[in-house]
Amino acid sequence: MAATRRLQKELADIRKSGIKSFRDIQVDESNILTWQGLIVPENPPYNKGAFRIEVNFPAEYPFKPPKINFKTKIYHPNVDEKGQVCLPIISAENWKPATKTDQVIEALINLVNEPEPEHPLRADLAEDYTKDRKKFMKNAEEFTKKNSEKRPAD
Amino acid sequence: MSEAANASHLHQLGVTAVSGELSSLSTFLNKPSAYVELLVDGVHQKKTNHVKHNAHPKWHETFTVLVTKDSVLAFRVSDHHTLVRDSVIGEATLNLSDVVASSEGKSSSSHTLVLAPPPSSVSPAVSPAPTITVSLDGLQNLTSSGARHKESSYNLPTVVNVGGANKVTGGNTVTVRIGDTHRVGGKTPPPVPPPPRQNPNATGGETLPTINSGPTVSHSHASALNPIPPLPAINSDGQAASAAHPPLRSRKSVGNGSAVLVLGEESPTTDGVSNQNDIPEGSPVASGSTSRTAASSSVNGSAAAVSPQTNHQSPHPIHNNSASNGQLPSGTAPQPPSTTAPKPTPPAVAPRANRHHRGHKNKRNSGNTDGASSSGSGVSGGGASVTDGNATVPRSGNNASQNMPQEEALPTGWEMRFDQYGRRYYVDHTTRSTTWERPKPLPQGWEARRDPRGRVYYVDHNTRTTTWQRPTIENIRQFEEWQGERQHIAQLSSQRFLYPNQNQDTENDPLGPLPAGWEKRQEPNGRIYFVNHRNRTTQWDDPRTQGMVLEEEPLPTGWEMRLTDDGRQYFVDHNTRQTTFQDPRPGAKQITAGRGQYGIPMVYERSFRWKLGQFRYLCHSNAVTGHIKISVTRQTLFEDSFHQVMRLPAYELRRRLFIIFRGEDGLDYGGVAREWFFQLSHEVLNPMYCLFEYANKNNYSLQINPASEVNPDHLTYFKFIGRFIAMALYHGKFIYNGFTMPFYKRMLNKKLTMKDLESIDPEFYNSLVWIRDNNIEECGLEMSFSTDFEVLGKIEEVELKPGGKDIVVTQENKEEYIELMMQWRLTRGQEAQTRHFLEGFSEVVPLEWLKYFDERELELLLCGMQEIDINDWQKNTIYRHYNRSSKQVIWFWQFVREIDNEKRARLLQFVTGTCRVPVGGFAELMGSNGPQKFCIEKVGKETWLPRSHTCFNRLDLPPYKSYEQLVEKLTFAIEETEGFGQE
Repeated sequence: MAATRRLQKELADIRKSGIKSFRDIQVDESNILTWQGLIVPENPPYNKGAFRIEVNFPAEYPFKPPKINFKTKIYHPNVDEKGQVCLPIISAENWKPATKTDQVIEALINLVNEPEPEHPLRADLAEDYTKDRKKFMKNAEEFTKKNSEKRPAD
Repeated sequence: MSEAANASHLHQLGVTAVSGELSSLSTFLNKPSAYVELLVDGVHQKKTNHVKHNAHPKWHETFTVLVTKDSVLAFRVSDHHTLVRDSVIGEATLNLSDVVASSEGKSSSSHTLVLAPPPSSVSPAVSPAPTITVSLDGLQNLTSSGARHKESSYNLPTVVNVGGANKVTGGNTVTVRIGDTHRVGGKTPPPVPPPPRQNPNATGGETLPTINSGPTVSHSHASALNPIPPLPAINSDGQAASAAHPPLRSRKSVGNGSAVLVLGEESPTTDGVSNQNDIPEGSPVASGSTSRTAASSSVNGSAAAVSPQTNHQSPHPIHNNSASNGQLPSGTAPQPPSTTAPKPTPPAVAPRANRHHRGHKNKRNSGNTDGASSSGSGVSGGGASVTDGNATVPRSGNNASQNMPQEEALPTGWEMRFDQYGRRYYVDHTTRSTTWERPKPLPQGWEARRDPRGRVYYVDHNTRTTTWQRPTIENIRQFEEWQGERQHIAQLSSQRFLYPNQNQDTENDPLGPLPAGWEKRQEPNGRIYFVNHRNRTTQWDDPRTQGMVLEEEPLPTGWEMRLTDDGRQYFVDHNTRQTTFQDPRPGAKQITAGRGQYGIPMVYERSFRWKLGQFRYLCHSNAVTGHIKISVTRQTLFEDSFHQVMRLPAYELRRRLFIIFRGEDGLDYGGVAREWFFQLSHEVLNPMYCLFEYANKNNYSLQINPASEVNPDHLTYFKFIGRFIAMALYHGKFIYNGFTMPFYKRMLNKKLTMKDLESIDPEFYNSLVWIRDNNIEECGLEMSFSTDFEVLGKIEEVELKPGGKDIVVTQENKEEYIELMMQWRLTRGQEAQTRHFLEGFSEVVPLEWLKYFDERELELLLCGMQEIDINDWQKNTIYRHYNRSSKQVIWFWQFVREIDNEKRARLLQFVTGTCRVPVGGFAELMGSNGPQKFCIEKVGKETWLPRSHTCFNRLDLPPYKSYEQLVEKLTFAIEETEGFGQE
């Protein structure tokens, strides 16, 4: 596949960089268009767990941006119940073929750590986040404990 | 698995609105015309037809809905009014959790509910309170779901729906559990009929093939429930249907009665009817012809008893299998064999497939897994569980999958498996393929089947139609839209024109107005004639010049006046051997020529009328004498037409057409042919035939569907469509839906440009532009002169030039790359189809004849113009960085009002990519991302030309300094099609 070379390089780079917040990257050799990995956020309330995401690259990559989905439920104003996330860097308007997946992941980790209630996918959570942070934190932490994955030991 | 996840599991439930008791609301003269709307968890699902003026309405309409076990069903009864808004009579709700609790394991239940008046109602409570009786069917799905989830957390129930909308007698919804003890309702028939049986006698078409298998389906009732007429393609005439598919040959019947596959010995179904719904995966004996034999042989006995009650027939795949397939009359077929296209061992699916079936008690495993075990699929009796069967499965993965709340049931024939790394993948037993992506379930009432040649197709029980394309919500929406258009079509065909209204011209006509009582008309072939209404005669000659010498100043020596084919005067200067429209005599009205004040040529030799005349002349002088009859039935319009058009030598299609709609009186003096072209073009472009698709998400322009090969006969169809389109042009008739501008350019053999790409795929375009405009050396794009193309889930690598795979794209060679990539993107997956289209076209009309036109004119020629409602246009236009009262905006609308219809159409083409206006007016204008109003944006400087973004229906209009400047620039922009240089 034409996109393989680039994706292999990106994958190698991202593995080499050893970002603490994104690990356990799994890619099937036969299908390099789908990546899975574990987001390990730094900031509360999400630092109580880890979140599995899936990155799907279209066959037209890099002419079209990848899509990101949370496989682990997360209580977050910018991630909807289906695990869809709205990330400006991979939106149709902003996408550039030179954008690298590590930049995308970095943007995602930043968004998880610092929710952007101004552009919510879940307006109810965004409202709590801005108006009643305490309540939001409590709910989010409980939710995270209950639903998220175990954080890696190291 | 958590309870929450359980609860969110979706199940199919048949809900029947049986009857209502509304006598308290009725008086002798005034009885409600009540209908019922069904809401699931507050979401509107379906509604019944209204029963006119009846205090005791009986609907007996059944809907299949997806519910969770905690869903709340709401029934809203309303009174239908013809003239005013319908009023709500009352609403009743039903908590499924309560129903399940009290149903005691029964599969169906009936409830009479008291209707609560709507909250807003001011009318006093009436007594007795109005009630509605409903019945639910398929409750066992809900009751058993909890238990099932405890048994096995990975198995997803596969929902099979039978009979679509016909669930009147109940029990047509079956939930099949793969890999688990499944339960089926008491009266439940097997979910799917046997695969179509091949029958050498089928061509007789006496007995209709049917897609309904349910013994309990009440066909007479069902047809009443389906107000939508069957698609023409899905006709009641077996012969016509099969005739439409010449490449398909009826094959020999596979030995009847032999090798009956006995299935289901151990099937512990909860009812008398044993269910062979399970997919015998991995069963070598269940594959190929053997299974088909099994299917057909069991049907044989009952086939004779099948009466052709229903007229639904699947067009493509099963047309040769008339008699017995599918229909199992009640009681005669208690043991129908497995019908979900028995699956052979899925080949080459991901390694070490781990299926998480526990407690396999049913026959699927008993008989068949042995055969499959060689494939290592590991369906052992006890079922390999995730943890003990394969230690490499990471727990996290499982958690993740359980956590996802939105898991829906897998479509029929699909199975989820885990590979050795614990990753989920999905096996499609129907197509014998695997994918990482979770398949979307088939929409309600759909079913996947396999034709006798093993090809997969999809049956829509709701409309009793079939298609090769796997249906998605999106393409069903498109289909519904397409279907919704049908009723308007005949009406719309009379609204299209090229030059019907000659009044406008009189102002420009040097001869002045016609004498009173005369009218200038145009024949369908474009020739002008004159009607004398006073004595009801017609003639070719212009009454103003007839038999008389014009009392005008003589022309200068060497000059001659001639008329173009459409009657326009022009002048030949034999001295210089030149022609001009400009009258050389002094005092004649000057045609503004040369360049305008702003340096833009003001006169375009692009006189559409003149070109049309040239084209018509060619058609006329190549006419073939005599006529051809094309006789069609409305229900089978596509097949009838296909057959008759393809049977004739192409040149004969230039004979006069004589179209007959069978059973309808009326001779064809043009009107019938006009309707035939319009209707048939709409049929041909039916998205469910998979031949064309809407470009972008707007629904005006069609392009060739790269996946059209799912329709095995697609190339023949494209040739047919090519002939048909050529016929429309030749005979001067219009088609309903146009094509994309790049497609017209292909017809004209014009080079495709970046602008074309932008109109088709703006995202792709943006990326290419980025590469063009940036230095790519340091970007690590890692691109070579090759690309990937995904069609029908399969990705193939394509080299843009020989050896391109190994040529790296650099700053130096990127121009070439961009050009090749753009050309490839615009033609990918459409080459063979386009060739066949053009071949069919040029057999009837040489492509050279089109050379007068540009692509916008070609669209106009094919689709005709429509009267454009400028007020509606203006009302539904939005502005960016301008407002309603900006002077440029005011000038723009002044310009729009001053130009003629053809120019307006051209302006629309420039901005929206098509001259067509949505049926609902400009308010419904669509862009590539949904509704997108006509937009005028202030961009650039006054020296710039206007630009457009057809995907967004946007006109970039620079802030011109004067009306004249705006007219000049805008005129140039809309006339020019060859990506003019940006100033």
